[in-house]
Amino acid sequence: MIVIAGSPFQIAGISGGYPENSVERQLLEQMSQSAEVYRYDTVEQLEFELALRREIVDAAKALNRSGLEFAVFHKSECNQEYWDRTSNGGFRLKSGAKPADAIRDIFTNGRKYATECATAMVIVYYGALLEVFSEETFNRLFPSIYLMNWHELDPLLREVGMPRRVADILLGDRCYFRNPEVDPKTPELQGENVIVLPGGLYYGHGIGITDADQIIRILNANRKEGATQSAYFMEDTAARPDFKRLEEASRSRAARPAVLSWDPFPPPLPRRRIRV
Amino acid sequence: MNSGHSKDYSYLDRIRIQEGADKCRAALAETFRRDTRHAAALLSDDRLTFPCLYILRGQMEGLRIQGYLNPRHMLALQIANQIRGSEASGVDYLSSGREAVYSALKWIWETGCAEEVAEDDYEQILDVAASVLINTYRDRDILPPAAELIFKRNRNGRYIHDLVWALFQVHDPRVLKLIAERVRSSEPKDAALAAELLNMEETGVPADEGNKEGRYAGYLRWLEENEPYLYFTQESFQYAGRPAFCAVDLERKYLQKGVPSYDKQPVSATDEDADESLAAFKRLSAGEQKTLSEYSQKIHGKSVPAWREWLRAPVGEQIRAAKAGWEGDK
Repeated sequence: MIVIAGSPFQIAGISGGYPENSVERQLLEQMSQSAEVYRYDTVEQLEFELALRREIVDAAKALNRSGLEFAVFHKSECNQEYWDRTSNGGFRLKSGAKPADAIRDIFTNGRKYATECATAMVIVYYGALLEVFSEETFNRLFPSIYLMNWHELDPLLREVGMPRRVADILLGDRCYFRNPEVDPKTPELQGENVIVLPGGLYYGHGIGITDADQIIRILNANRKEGATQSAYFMEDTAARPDFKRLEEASRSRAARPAVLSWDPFPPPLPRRRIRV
Repeated sequence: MNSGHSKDYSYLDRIRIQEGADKCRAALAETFRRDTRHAAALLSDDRLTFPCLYILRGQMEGLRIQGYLNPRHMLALQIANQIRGSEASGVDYLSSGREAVYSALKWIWETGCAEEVAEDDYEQILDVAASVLINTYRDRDILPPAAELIFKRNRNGRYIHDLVWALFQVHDPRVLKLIAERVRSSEPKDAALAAELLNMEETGVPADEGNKEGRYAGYLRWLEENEPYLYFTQESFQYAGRPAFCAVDLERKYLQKGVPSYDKQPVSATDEDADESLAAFKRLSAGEQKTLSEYSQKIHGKSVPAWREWLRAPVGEQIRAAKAGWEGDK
């Protein structure tokens, strides 16, 4: 059920604006039919979440096509034109590099980069935000970017590193396959972070876009000798960005989002660019 | 490693420590040129350390003298190459669980973690060695040096996530005690990492920066109180930014039914009344569950008959009694 400003919301009012079978339509239908109550202050908030979830799905597909290699942190690689590789295997935005250019470079020159599955998820989020925000807004909101799994996440994205119990798994959610009896030689296969895609598919970096059975098969093939417990999908937890805070941040003219600075005047008209 | 103890080291280690890696490589090449047998003897010296073998690996390949290594050093080199991904033979030297593998891994670990070479390949070898020693060979002796290495690397901004994962795979509260030692460290990075790994915010131990000893003692008290209900979650830095590596099973604490395995195991009540209470308990909010489980522990410690009576009451009454009890304490 979707509730906006305290009242039940009929999706017919906006669903026609989205193509049939689109990510947004599927989301609207799933949320409206759920026993869970999805609350928003305004229709724009809901539309923003739909747009960002769609972009997360698209960014996951784009990153999968990018040629980004899989590597453990000890062997991670990045394009030094935009990023400095830190001593723990993370990537820090190079001084003077534009955040939007640096993120875009990962999607266009993926073969110059190698990292593991969690960092790839963070790259997906930045890639999606780059499509939802204008380049100016993106650069303003994320002046310093650090990519190293869920470590030192930007305050605007901290929730993506905090999986929570959820009633529904939605398109664009970040979920996890756990491999409880992983081979100790390959700790990187202790699990697989994934983005939920349409059609029962998932994007997991290093595995690609495939279904749950295939991901479980791959993880099971990397268990310790004598293992009896299968890898499994954690079906009641997911991590999601704080869509409302991001939407609010996109409207703020301050260097950092409104949650971090007080603006005594009414917020300006929305300047975000949402493709609907 | 202390060069004051250089008499304990092999000839090649002494050169490495005193004059550096390049001189060590040059010494091996020169010795090999003059006397192959002597070079072979230097490489098979039992006192040789893994850092020395590691920095000489390229030299040995170039001179084609790996065949002169003693079996332990040969196997260690093969294991290291396998982990680095440069072992072309396809043989899995780590899979068999053989005593020789254990011996080689233990040597890599013991001589290797004392003085890490700050290179990714080297650290990865140590990470995997620790993981296999802990998970395959159930070696608990390496826990203290593994904990030490985590904090040392963290101070230097090096990668720790796989080593942390390996340490928590033990599912043993000894790991928590080893980490807790660092809560009272004078090094702020140590204390901050210890608090993060122990999830101290959840324990309710006050974060008083000026009283590190008090914080440490407070954590140990918390651990003693909750150890019977503690379980390891399998969360990791791959899964979450602030993983809860272990947690208190509030249902078990509520029913005062501990479990020795430190794994999450379903709990069942012993009688019908307690069964109803448990069902109601499961429907409570996380905060209410915490309050009730803590109160349960408290009155159980004071009087078991009184605790039984309290547990038979409806959950609403239990909560009222718990709140009144805590208020009374204040």
